[in-house]
Parts: sequence; structure tokens; C-alpha cells
Amino acid sequence: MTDAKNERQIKISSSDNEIILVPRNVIRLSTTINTLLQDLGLDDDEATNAEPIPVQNVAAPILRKVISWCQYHYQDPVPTDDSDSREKRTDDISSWDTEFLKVDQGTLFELILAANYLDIKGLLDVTCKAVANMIKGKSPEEIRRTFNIKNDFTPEEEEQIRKENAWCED
Amino acid sequence: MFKALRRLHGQNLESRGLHDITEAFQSFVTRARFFSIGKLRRTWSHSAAEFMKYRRLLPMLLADGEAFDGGETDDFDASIAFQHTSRDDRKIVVSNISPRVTQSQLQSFFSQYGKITSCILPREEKKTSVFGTLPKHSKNCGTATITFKKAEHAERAKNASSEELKFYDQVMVVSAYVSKKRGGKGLVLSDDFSREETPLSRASSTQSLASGSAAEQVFQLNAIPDRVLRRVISFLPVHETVRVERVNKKWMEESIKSWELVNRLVLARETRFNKQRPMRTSHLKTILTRAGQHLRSFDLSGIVHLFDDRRSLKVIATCCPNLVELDISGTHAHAEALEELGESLTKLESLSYRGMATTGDKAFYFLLKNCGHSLKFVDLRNAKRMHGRAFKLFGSQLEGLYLDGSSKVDELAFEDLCTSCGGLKELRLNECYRITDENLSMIARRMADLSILTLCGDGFKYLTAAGLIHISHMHNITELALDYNTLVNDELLISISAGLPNLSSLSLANAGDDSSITSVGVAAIKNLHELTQLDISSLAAVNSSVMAELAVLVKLEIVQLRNCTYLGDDGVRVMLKMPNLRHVDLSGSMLVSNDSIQEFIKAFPNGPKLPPTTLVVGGTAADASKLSVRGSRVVVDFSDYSTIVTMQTSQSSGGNSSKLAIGGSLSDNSDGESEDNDFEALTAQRSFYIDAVCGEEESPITDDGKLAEWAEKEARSLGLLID
Repeated sequence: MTDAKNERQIKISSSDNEIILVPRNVIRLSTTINTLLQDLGLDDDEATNAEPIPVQNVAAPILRKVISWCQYHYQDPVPTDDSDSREKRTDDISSWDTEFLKVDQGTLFELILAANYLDIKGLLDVTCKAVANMIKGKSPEEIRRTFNIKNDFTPEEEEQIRKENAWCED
Repeated sequence: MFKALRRLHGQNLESRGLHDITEAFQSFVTRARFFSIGKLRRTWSHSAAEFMKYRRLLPMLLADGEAFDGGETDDFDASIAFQHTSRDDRKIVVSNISPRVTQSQLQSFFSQYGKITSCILPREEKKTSVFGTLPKHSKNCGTATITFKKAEHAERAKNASSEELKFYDQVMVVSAYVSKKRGGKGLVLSDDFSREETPLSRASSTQSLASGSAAEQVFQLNAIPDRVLRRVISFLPVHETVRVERVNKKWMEESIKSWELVNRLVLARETRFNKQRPMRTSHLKTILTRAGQHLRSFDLSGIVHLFDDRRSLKVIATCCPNLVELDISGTHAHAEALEELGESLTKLESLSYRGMATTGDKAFYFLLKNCGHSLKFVDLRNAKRMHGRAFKLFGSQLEGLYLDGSSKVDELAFEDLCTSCGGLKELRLNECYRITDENLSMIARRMADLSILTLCGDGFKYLTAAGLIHISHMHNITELALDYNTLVNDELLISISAGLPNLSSLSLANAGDDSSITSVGVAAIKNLHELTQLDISSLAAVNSSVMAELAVLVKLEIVQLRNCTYLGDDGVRVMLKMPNLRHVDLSGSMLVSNDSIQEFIKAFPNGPKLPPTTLVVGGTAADASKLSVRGSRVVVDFSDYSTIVTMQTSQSSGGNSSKLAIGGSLSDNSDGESEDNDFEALTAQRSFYIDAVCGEEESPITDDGKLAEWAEKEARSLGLLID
């Protein structure tokens, strides 16, 4: 942290053209921006006053929320091996994240899109877990109804799938 | 009899209340529980119903936390239900209920169609909030069952128009109830296209925003990118991941692709499979045909299953070619199936097959026949019938081998192990009682890299104290555990201290006996400067002067001193100078008093980035009310773990010694012995079955009069009834 280079502020402009300053080592969590900075050689000190990085798909309020998440989590230990090898669990959302995710569903949706676009794996995971918890325990019918999803199977097809996986149904 | 029971119950309530039931009454009640009530049920008498009522009270009465098997009562309820099959016609299922509706509101709403006898609106009860985004209030499930007094009322409700059924801005859906007992699902979902096209009218989003409730805003799940949906699905429990395939085509595709993100599957984590719904081979197949390709680690241990042994292992063998770690503990299988499994898993590095107490040596041989040479880690704990012929199949890659409790592993097997596995780093041999002095000497010579060795247990009959000294030649050992090993003596401790300079963890709890380990031996431990963990619980030789000698071990982090009855305050003060301490267990060390504990607490002040230090003081002379922990990072734990330890030992050592007694009385011919053991086990099992079956046949007392007589006699003999 004492490293001057990491103290450096990066300018990011949101889709509504608001410019937000964020420390370099915080935004490191976003693989998209991280690679961008490295590939464009913007990691040098003299690049501080460079043009802000445009993040076209994310609006300022959401971007600020994303950055607040990064600011809390940027010192987390980096998962050593490919973190996909972890077990699938949805009950391990930390209390801070639970608070963080107490947002309305529209915001949650925007957060997922932003995490996906900026490629922030931790944030994507935790938001996906929140959504998985919304789906959990629902039957396919309930999922369709709750989320307005159209069933494009013919009744015969559906019946066949249902039969094959009968044990999964309650 | 019921009169007697009721009288007793009343008496008991009067005198002591529900929570203080005399032992005599409890045992009486327990006897009553085991009565066969088959006959009573058939007579359908008033008294039978009374009896059932009483039985239902039993779990309450037996307030000692004893699990009560409600199986028979449920059965009984089912039979009542059977009497009223027509009830289903009077029942309706209401879904799409607004979360704000309460049960009584719903009941009064539907009473416009007729008199309601019951209205059940379950609430979602989850310990964690339903999902991260919502506050934790419990809302209803959105589906209710309502029973009308007459079938035509239910019919009227079913035919109600959608406009009539609007309640809190949401149109409820009424459908017929189909009993689960008749094979249908509890709720018939008329999920045809006509309804899909007219989506249920939820409150419009503007309205919901006005009311300020985020719950009613629909999450735009169908708009999220496929990649994200895949990730979401991968977080679902296994069976739900399969179930959502039915949602629509996109979901099916993503659900199947979501398995790519799953490299590790621990089925014991899935609450889906339990005693009521054991896992079957077909379930395993469904899961593994999807997940198998991507799995690198698969853990099948600890689930309740009804596997067809041959087929289930074949499924694993064919579906999961990339497995690196496999745990199939608890899956009994035929040797051929195991061989096939071992053959097809070419990348396997870690294999666990624990607790297979009845699996014979042959099965282990075939399991390891094809994969043994490439394995790095093998866990075969508690394989009570394994002799270890398979050990020559292991290769030099093997780094870890757990054999705890596999008491039949013999001398020859250890020789094989020494010849083929020179690279072993970790060897756990607790209770492998057939290891000999020569084996140990060979291990010392052949396994140069061995760093962890455990030889706990009190029944090593082929080992001598002199043989154990070989341990001191294993110069790379860093962790050594000799708990309960009666052969440990001063000489061994002195030679270990001289020969194992790298030792970082030493466990000697309950080792040796009071005369073989003296203060000289324990004091020798001071030469092990690298020690971070030390367990010298229950050693009579540990006293304050010995502890003073150990003061030089400044790297110590974890010190266990349970049941060190000669350890005094001065001994505890020695530890004040060990700056790295994280955990000290003094439970059961009676002479330790508040003085030294308070000093200990003061010696570890709070500081930034300093981890807390736990100090267990249960069973010491410490007085909680007089200790002050302010400004200290010491966490004082007042529980006493020493009693737990002694209980475990008495159980395990008792079990082992009885086993050994059987082994010893028979000839040393291993084959004959195992067969005899088999025979014994079989006969024991058979007599158990016979007891269980006949016991049930005998107990019913057919005559009500006789029953009452018996009850009264029992009560009298227990002194509960006074004439």
C-alpha cells in the first residue's frame, strides 16, 4: 500500500459521463480494467493524468457501489488455485456482503451486469449466490412464474424431461 | 391401563412438574411405548384414541432429550386420513397469494364460498434470510391448502372467476387438491400454455414501488447474460441444478453447461439425500453423466445410499475419467467392480476408502490393483479385515498413508510397504497392532523422507520398548504422536530428543505408565528446540520443576497439559515466557490456581495484529469470578476437556482389548481367524434379528383386561401405585 504506484488514482467514467477516482490497487479486482491498463501501458506514473477509462455499460450509482465492494475486498487473499474448484455453496456469504446485497432487485440485476462486464470474480460470485438463493427451492413452474420466463418446450418434451429426472421433483 | 397412566401423569404433574420425572416413572413410560398397539388400532375404540393422545405426549414427558420415534403415530394419522378419502374433494390448493396475506385473512376471504374447516398457509422459515437482498421477515409461501366443510363449497371456490379471486392486487389461483398418498403431487399445476400466455397479474411495478416493497419487483432473470445464468445455476444444490433443466431450452443448456464450473463435488453436503430419501444408483448416474467429465474431486462418503454396488461404481468409472481425488468410503462393492474402477481412473492421485470394517482383503487388492502405483495419498482407516496384501501395489509416488484402526495389517504388509514406498512422508498407524520391531526398524531405514508418524494405541503386542527406539533414527520426522502407547519410556524420550532435531509436534498424552516415564524423560524434551506443539497430558511426571526445564522451548504454540495432577502454579508461570503461545489446555490439572492463571492472562497483553490465545482452565482450582481479562488477548475457556478424553480412551481401548482377546485366543493362522470372526459376526447379527423379530411378536397382549393387569402390576412393582 505504501507503494506510490498503487496509491495512484485511476479515473473511470461511467455511462452517464461521471468521472470517478479509484485507487489503482482497488480496481485491480476488475480483470477487465486491469488488463486494459496493463495492455495500454497506462500503468506508468506519467499516465496519471491520462484520459478517464470509459465504462460504457455501467451507470455512476452502480459503479460507485461496485467500487465500494472492491474497496472492502481488495485486500482479501487471492484464491490460489482456480477458485472454480471450490464447492458450490450459497450459505457462505459474509455478513458484510449480506448487508451490501440488501438492495432492490433492479440494483442487484445491475450489479450482476456490472460485475460481469468488469469481470470482478468475487462480486460476480456473491451476486450469483444471492440470485441462486432466490431460485433455490422453487419448482420449474414457480421459477417461470416468478421471473416471467417463457416455457419453450412442447408439453411432450417437458413431460419426457420430467420423467427422466423424476427424482429431482418434490 | 389408561386410568393408571392418567393417574400417574396427574400425580407426577402435581408433585414435580413435567421436567422432573422420577426414573421409575420414566422407565414405566418407556415400557408403555414399546407396547404393540396393532390390536388397539383395529378396534378403533375410544380408549385407543386416548392411548394415541397419550403417546403423543410422551416426547414431552420424556423431557431428557431422548429422541422419540413418531413413526407409529404418523401411521395412525394416515389411517385416520384413509377413513376420509372424500376429504380431498373438499380441499383446494390456493397459489399466487400475495406475501402480505395472513392465514386468518385468507380464511375469511374464502369463507364467502362456504364454511371452512381448516386453512393452512405455511410460512417460509429459513434461518438465513431468504435471499441476500431481502430483510429477514418471514413471508408466506404463496400457496395454501383450504378444507371446506362441504365438497360443493370447494367446487364453488374452484369455479370462481379471476376477478373474484383478486386479493391484495394479486389474483390467486385455485386448483384441486390431489393427495400425495394417491401418488400425485400435493398440488396439481395446470401449467399449460393458456396460462403462460396470460401471466398471473402481479401488482404492476409502479404500484409496488409506491408501496415501497422491493419484494414484488420482478428480478429480470431472463435478461442476464447466459454466462451469468450458468454461474447462478452452478450454485444451486445438485438436484435443483438438474430440476431447472425443465424451465426452458436456454435454462436446460445453461444448466448442463453449469457443470463445467463444478470441479469438486461433496455429496454429503447435499441435504437432498437422507434417510427418508436415500441416494440410488440412478441418481448418481443422472448427476455424473452431467458432471463427471469436469469433476476432479468427488466425495461419496457419508451419504445415505442404496447403491447397487456393481453398477454405481461402474457409473463412476465410466463418467469421471478426470478424477484426481476420490472418496468412496461407505460404498460396499464387489472386488470386480472395484477392479474396474481402479482400472479406469488413470489420473487418480488420492483415494479414500475409510471405515470399511467388513470389506475383505481381496477387495482392497483389486481396488488398488490398477491404480495403486500412481496414488499419492491413500486413506484406508478402520479397514478391520484388511491384511495388507495390496500394499505391494503402491509405488514410490505414495506420500501419505492412513491406516488408523486397520488392526489386521500384518508384518508382511509393512515389509511390502517399506520395499515399494520409499517416498512416504506421512504414515498414520494408530492401532495397527500387528506392526513389529523389525517393521519399525525397516521403516526407519527405508523411508528417509518420513515426516509424520503416528503410533497411538495401547495394544502393540509385537512391539517392544527397545523396538520403538528405532523412531529416533527417522531424522526427518517433524510430527510424532504416541498417545496411549504403553511402550513409551524415559529411554525413548531421551533418544528421540537427541535424534529428531526437526520435530515440531510431539504428542505423548497418556503414554507409558507412571514408572516408565519419569521427570528425567520429560525434561529431555527440552532439546527439541523446534517444537511448536506439545501434548504431555496425563503424564504423572509433569510437575513444576519439569516445566521449568521446558522453559527453553520458546517456539511452542500449542501446549496440552490436561490432567497433569502434579502441575502447580509455578509450572504455569514457566509458560509466561513463551511468546508464541496460542492455546494452552490445563483442564483437569487440579493444582493450578487463580494466581498463576491471572499472571498468565496479564503476560499476554492485547496488541495490534496479535492473535488471541486460548487458555482452558476447566477442572482447575480457577475461580471465574475472580479473574480479570481486561487488556489481555487471552480467551479463558472454563470447560473441562480432560473428562472427554478419558471417556474416549476407555471406550476405544476397551473395544480394542476385547477384539484382541478374541484374536489372541484363536490360533495365529490368520485365515482361520477371519473366518471364525465372520462366523461370530454372522451369528451375532442373526440372533439380533431373531430377537428383534420375535420380540415384536411376543409383546402384544391381546386382551385389554390383561393389558390393564400388566400395567397395574408394573406400576406397583415400581412403587408408583400405593394401595
